[in-house]
Amino acid sequence: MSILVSGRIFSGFFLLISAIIILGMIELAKKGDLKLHLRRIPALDAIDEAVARATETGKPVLQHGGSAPSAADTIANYSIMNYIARSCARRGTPYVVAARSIQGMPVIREIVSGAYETEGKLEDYDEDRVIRFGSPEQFAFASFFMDTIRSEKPAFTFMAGGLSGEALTLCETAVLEGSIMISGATGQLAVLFASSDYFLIAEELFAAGAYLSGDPRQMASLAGEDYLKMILLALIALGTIFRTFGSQWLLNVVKM
Amino acid sequence: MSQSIWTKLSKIDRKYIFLVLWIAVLLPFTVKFALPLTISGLSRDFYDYLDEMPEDSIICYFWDVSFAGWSEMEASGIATLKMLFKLMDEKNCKIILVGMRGDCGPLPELTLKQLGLHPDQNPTYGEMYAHIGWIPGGSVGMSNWCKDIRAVNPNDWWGTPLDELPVMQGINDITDLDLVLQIESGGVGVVINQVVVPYNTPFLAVSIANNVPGNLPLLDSGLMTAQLGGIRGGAELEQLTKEIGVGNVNITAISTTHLAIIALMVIANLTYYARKARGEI
Amino acid sequence: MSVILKRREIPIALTAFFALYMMIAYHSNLPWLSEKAQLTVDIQTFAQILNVMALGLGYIAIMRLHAGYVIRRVKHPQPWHWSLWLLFVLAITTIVGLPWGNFGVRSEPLQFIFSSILLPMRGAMYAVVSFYMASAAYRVFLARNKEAAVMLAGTFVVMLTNAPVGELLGAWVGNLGTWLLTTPSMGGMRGIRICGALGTLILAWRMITGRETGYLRGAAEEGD
Repeated sequence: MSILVSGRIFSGFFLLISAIIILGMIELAKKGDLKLHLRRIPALDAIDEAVARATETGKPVLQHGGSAPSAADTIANYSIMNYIARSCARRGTPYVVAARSIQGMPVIREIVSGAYETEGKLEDYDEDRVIRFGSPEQFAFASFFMDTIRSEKPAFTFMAGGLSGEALTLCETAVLEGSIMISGATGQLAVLFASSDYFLIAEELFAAGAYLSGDPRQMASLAGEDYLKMILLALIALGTIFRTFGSQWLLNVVKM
Repeated sequence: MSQSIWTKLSKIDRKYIFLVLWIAVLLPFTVKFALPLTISGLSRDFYDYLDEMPEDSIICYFWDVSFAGWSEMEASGIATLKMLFKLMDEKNCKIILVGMRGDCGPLPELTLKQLGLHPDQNPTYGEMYAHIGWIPGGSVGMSNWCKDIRAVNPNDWWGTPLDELPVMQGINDITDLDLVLQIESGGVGVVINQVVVPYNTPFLAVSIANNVPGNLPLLDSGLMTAQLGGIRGGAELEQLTKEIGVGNVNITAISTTHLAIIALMVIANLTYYARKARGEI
Repeated sequence: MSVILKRREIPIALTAFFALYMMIAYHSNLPWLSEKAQLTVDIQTFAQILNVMALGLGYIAIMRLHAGYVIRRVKHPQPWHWSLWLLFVLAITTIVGLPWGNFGVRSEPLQFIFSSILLPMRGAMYAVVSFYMASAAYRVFLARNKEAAVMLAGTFVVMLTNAPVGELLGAWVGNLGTWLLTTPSMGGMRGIRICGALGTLILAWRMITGRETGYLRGAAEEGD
């Protein structure tokens, strides 16, 4: 009996390679041996401008709390939430988080209160005003979020994490109320892309935490991701060549 | 200075757009007309795969559509379920209903009642089909369920221990299943990650129309065997199975609403270009 | 004690341990370190229980929140009488769902709540999406440049492919629409899926190594 499960050997190998690359890049960044250049992500750059506009107009910033914290896009949303909360706390801009997930509520509470505390503005943090719990149910939450948009009239709305069928209605409501709309998703791409002012597509959402932090060690992981992409592209190219010439060899290796 | 017609059109109140759509939706229900429906390759492949299931197959139907999505998925959900029960009658296949959402208990129960297959209506419940109910815990719960069904669901939806149901004899984990179907409105990710990839189980998806383009790479790579999409997929399956239902009733409304939205987009673009030509933008 | 429990190293260490353990168990065939090992099953069962417990926690959180609104007679964020209504509906649904008398999870009254109240309400909200889609289409789908014009043309073709009325224009509509979905669109979606999966993997490694701390309190402290 082999040590590794048949059919999962290649994926385990790829996981190991990814760990080596990511950790290696982080070590290089720690030593300062890595010169990184990240392309601009307009949606993330627009966050600062949007928060500034909210501060000037005196209107609040509204953020969608994401779905269950086990989802990767919700975790990415939490990093952005931390950034936006700190930005709002620093500038004294009203900030509202509409929480959808019951499991996520304590996490959101910790992130937002921690952000205010980090900026030394804990006295400005009023939990009842900042964190609003809607409903875990999709369209009940959509009604709640739309009502929050209409009553708060935010200058800037950010949505990411667990968006599905209700996404378009939320976007449209925000835009029709005159809010800058930035959203991010791994699915529902078409409707969100069409109705948002700025949009984070899939990996841009996951890179947000590293991008916004500016921490070289976090950004090094993005460089590692690029190397992994090159490996995948090479595999795809080789696979195409092999299959074109009728060989199953590479396919069998990947299915090992 | 009064505004030009083009400026007025560009700033039209949403309620007039909603009115146009209302008329488009209601028209086919007031003026009866039918349009030809060509069966697509996707629906044909879905039907053929199910139709060619071997005798004595064990089929699990994951019911992961929300109450909200049921308005779109009712046609395909019921058509697929009818086809599965036909397989049960004709080919001795076993059918297990289960799901990961909170809606996946009441919704199949209501559907079984609609089809006359609720335990209160059908004394043969449990012999060839069962409704297990809800797998709690999302991905983690599904992973556990795949390894040991009774560890997660010791009873069926009505509280009967699975060991007392003849249909569940010899069915202990995912490897005992021959086919997995999922009717979904929230994505196929969990089933792909926890069922298809680790265990290579054949998988058919009954998806909401919005998810069909995103699922096509999975279909192309073989992770998904076949797919049925949206109301149109349901209407096509109804025609293939010759069990005409709500899908064929609603499909004409799809045509009128699509035409209405296309007309609105054409008007919006004409307005844009007219305003541009007049120097208003 | 609370000082120790508040340290961020604890959740990071727990995340790293459980994530690495599950990754290794998924790939390993060793009896004591595999998917079917007792420890693995116990960890996953524990995670399931936590997940479900959170629902109960949420129930308490909702009651606490809205009871507070009612007691304080708040007008913002919403008038308190809506909170009172929510507590009333919550109480009714809870009582009807409790296993006593004619009530219970599979009783007729609870089925009535689901099938005659929840189902139509949720369906109605979902139906609203189509109206907002029309409104968004009118506002946004403008052929401002060549790329947008091509996208708009593609939109028309795919919409007509999905609707039976498109077949009246000829088979070319369906063929073109199917080609658009299965060739350029699929290629794009494939790329997005692969990159999204890679992004998730990198996010996971950042969390395991403690680099991604956005979900923790006080994430941006210096020296991390």
